[in-house]
Amino acid sequence: MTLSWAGWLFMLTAWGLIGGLTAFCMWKVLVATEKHKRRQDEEAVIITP
Amino acid sequence: MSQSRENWGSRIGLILAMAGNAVGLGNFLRFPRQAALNGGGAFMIPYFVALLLLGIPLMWVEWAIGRFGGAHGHGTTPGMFARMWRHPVAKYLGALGIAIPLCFVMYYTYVEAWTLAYAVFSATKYYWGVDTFAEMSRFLAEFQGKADLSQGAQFFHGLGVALLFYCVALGLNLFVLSHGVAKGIEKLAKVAMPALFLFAVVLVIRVVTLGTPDPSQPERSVAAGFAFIWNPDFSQLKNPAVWLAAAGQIFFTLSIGTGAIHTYASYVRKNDDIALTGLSTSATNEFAEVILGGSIAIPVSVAFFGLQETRLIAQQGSFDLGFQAMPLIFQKMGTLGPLYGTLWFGLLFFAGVTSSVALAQPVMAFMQDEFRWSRKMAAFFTGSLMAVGGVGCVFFLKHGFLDEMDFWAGTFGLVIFALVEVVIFAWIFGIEPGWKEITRGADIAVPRVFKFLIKYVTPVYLLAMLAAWTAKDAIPILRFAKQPANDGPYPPEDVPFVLAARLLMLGTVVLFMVLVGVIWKRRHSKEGLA
Repeated sequence: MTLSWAGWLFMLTAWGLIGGLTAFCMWKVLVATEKHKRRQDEEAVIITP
Repeated sequence: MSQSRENWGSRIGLILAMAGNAVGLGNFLRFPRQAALNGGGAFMIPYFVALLLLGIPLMWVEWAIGRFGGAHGHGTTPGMFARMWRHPVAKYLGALGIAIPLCFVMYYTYVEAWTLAYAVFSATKYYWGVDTFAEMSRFLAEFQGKADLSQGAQFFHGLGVALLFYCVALGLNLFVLSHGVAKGIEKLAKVAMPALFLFAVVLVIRVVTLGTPDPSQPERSVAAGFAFIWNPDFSQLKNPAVWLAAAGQIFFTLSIGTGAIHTYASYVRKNDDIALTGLSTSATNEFAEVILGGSIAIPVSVAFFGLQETRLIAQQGSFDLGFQAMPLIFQKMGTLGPLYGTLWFGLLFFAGVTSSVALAQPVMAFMQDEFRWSRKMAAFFTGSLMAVGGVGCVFFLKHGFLDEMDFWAGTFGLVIFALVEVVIFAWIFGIEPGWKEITRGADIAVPRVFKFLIKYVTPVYLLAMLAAWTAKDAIPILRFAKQPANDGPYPPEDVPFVLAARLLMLGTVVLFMVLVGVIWKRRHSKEGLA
């Protein structure tokens, strides 16, 4: 028994969808964390006389 | 609520802890077996449908309920439901969100103890030399106290070793819980989750580079193993049982309906994102399940035992694959066999312990938030309740005590609770305020189609699942016509133990309903909370 073309297709599609979603989420989390950090820094600058 | 509640220390800590809650033994043992037996690659069609229509919507609902409750000082569902539905019944329905995870963790800690024990057995080569299925089956049966020792014991003389590992696992859980959310659970997740992924990646690399371990048997290869999991059998898509199995798998893998997500989300600040964080934890869980979990146990089993034998092992159950086939394989992997065995059972243990602390946390949160108990006192109370059911599982495993709890608390109860929460959220609290809860502070744009899915599709999907499971399993099991672990009737000698398990679960539900009634009478009724 070997991986058929349909088997390859299903495996790579599932891996691609899940791997892609995981990478997208992690990238968005990093961007959002940076954005929040920058906003806090900016707010701190305004507050400081 | 004047008392200040704990918060997560960092966003990555929260994601790892939530992912730890979701990633469990099922990711590595249950998923590959389900996929292989239910249509291979074709199984992924109902799997992704269930993920989209059931898993992700419910995950966001639970996060939203949890953060909403946390903002009002409630870490558990009695208070959360009571705030969303101003009706006296709401808080009692919420008691299920404490009792169900507690019943779940009672037996789950014991299963976790097996993985810890087998990690130690692998590291010390304790089962080396036990090299046939029959002997390995005997080894496991003696360890679990299921073997008939009238002819003498070969490996274990009683339940002492199993009990010892259970005590260690329980103690570790309580140690983590007693240190709180940021210093206990989050710290554990920051160590256990990276270690789990590292162990899994090492094992996947080893498996995919195995090729054909015995060149004289070319049909036994890793490639054949991947073919077993991924080659689609489209005829299976006509079988409703396959769609039910996929929906069930999504339920278990995302830890939906346990009450644990609500409690973890209650420690998120009121305006912090839940949409992206929730989706990230689900994606991390899916990565662990489909990419890593699907690439270890089944492919390696086919490479060493062949397709027919692996199909038989898979049909017998997830534990046969994990605790009987895998130890035999590690013995065939040369000098590094003990290392691979330790990594395999170590990753299962890490997957287990990060889930069990999440399942125990609702009781902790309830006693701390509502009764204002100290963390240590709450941990002692939680541990005592866990031990009652856990010891029952240790001593009465062979009489179906654990299987009974697994069915009612760990399978059927989850669907009932999920249905209750989605109805309260989408239909009673209302989908408009509910949608605002999900999207407030969101770091991603949540597609509006999920508003429709949460209100209409998810409840109907859950109702269909519940109806199918009630007819297929719950009624025959309740009437002792069919056991949860197999289709045979209950042996008469097991009935008292099964009844004891049912009484224990019922007693747990009643206990928390009474405690909810007490605290409402004492505090919340005066605050005007129904």
